[in-house]
Amino acid sequence: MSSGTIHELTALLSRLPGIGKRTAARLVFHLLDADTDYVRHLGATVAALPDKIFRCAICGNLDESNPCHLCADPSRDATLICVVERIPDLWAVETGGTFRGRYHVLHGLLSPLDGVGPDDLNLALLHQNVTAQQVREVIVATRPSVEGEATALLIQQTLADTGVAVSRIAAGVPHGSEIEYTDARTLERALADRKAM
Amino acid sequence: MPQNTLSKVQIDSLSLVQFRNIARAEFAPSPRFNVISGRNGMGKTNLIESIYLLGALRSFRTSVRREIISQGERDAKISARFGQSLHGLSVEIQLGAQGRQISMDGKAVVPDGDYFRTLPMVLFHPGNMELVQGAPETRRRFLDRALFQADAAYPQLYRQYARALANRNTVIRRQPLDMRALVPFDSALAKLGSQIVASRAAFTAQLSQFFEEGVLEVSGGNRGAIRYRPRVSGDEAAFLQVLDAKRQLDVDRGYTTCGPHADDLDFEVDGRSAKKYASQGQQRTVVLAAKIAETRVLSQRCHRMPLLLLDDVSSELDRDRNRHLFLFLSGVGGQVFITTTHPDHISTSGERADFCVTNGALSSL
Ligand SMILES: Nc1ncnc2c1ncn2[C@@H]1O[C@H](COP(=O)(O)OP(=O)(O)OP(=O)(O)O)[C@@H](O)[C@H]1O
Ligand SMILES: [Mg+2]
Ligand SMILES: [Zn+2]
Repeated sequence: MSSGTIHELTALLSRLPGIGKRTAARLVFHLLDADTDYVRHLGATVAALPDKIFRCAICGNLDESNPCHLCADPSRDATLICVVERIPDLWAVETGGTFRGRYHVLHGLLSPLDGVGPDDLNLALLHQNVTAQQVREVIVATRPSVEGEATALLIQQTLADTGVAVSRIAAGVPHGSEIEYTDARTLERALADRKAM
Repeated sequence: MPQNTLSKVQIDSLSLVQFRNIARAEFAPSPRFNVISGRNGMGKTNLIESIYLLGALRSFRTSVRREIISQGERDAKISARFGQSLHGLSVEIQLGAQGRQISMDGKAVVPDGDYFRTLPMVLFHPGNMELVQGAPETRRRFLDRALFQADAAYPQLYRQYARALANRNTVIRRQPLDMRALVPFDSALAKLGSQIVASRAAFTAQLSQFFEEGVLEVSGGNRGAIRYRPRVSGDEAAFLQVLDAKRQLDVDRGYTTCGPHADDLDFEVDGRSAKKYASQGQQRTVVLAAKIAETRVLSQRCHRMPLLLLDDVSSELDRDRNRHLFLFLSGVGGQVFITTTHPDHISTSGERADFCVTNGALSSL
């Protein structure tokens, strides 16, 4: 391995969120010391990601199949949709285990200040699903921040012409906190106590 | 209430590292009066600023962190132990290139609305003389700073409102106007804005009572009042109506014209606007009475006497108003820090410690 490779991997890793130059270099030297099978396995898994993981054409989830295993599961209630900001939030709700409907991942929150407008969110697909699947209720589970609330209102507006019931998870989730880090019990209660918008 | 049982914010020890021109300082102040003297440019205001930062988590002189860190150094540190009713609570603030870190009793904390209520402080400095004649922003800042300490819900409300406002302003500056993006932030502004106005109205009403007492004490006969002048008043629905009605104007101007970010206060003396009619002396009375009122409301709302920081104010007040200031200070029984170039002009009654600052070095006199 030439030092050029070390530099290159360091530069690549440091583009990951939360990883600075120093951490990236530490990771590279850790890999150089690690078991070679582990390093090969890691590399191959990373290399296969683009060919193995797909964005679900129905809900926006990322999975090994398209549609994702949640959308393909016939035992799930297709008439109930839980809208989340991002995939870790979907996992957080799934961890609770009581929600048996489907999901919709927005991949962001309405925040013009950060350059995210209505068209940058996965909303057209949501509208399409609601109309096609005879959905009876859409639960908006975005975080209780200014942008999370604004996104909930945007969804309500977007779906107004479909006549579907739109509800918002209850205020049990502490303000400003992220859905992903909210404990499962609190999240379950917030879902159960949702309010019609 | 006897002074020794009064609950108050009291610093037992303060330590500074690389804070402006103070390389290192250890400071054990008196629980009552602390008079800090020194020639111009020696570091008196810097010391006051460091204490203020512990309570307000921001400076009253700058919003640029780099300016606070000693030139040529990478970080600054302020640590204090609070005694009396705060039972030895230690608070440390570290300012570095990365950001700011706050810890309480050694544990890192993200300050919430209760933080400011725990350590109420009232600052009185020459800049306050602008309170009457200055721009509305000066008076809003006075009100907001007090409310951050008086109302645990206010800091979050304030930040959320600012965020919603910035988002709405971004939306209205973009052509063509996207109503889908505008409507949610109009709702947010209406909801948050009406709550801010309600908090400000309740607080100003309380402040005005104490202000009236203060003006009467200081002037010996004038009647004072503080009137809250919200740009938009009423509930959420009323706010929405105004935002709707002003939409085109806002788009033309490129910013949101109405809302609590444009509110003002009116100080009145004998029923007339102090801004328009008060004499120089009356204006000083208004400022002094406003600070007295702020202290009294905060001690009521926070259930403890705020720590008082007086930066060079004696030079801004005449003899008579200085006498009233010190009369007030003797009565309240809190911990007081006073800076001056003329320590012999400071006539305190009660326990007093004198300190001197020379080129950033602090010594006990
Ligand atoms: N980041 C910094 N690093 C080093 N020195 C600084 C820094 N910021 C300010 N100073 C110095 O601190 C001094 C000002 O201190 P300060 O404002 O506390 O003076 P003061 O004693 O209050 O004076 P006055 O009586 O005129 O109000 C100045 O000499 C200034 O150059
Ligand atoms: Mg000064
Ligand atoms: Zn799916």
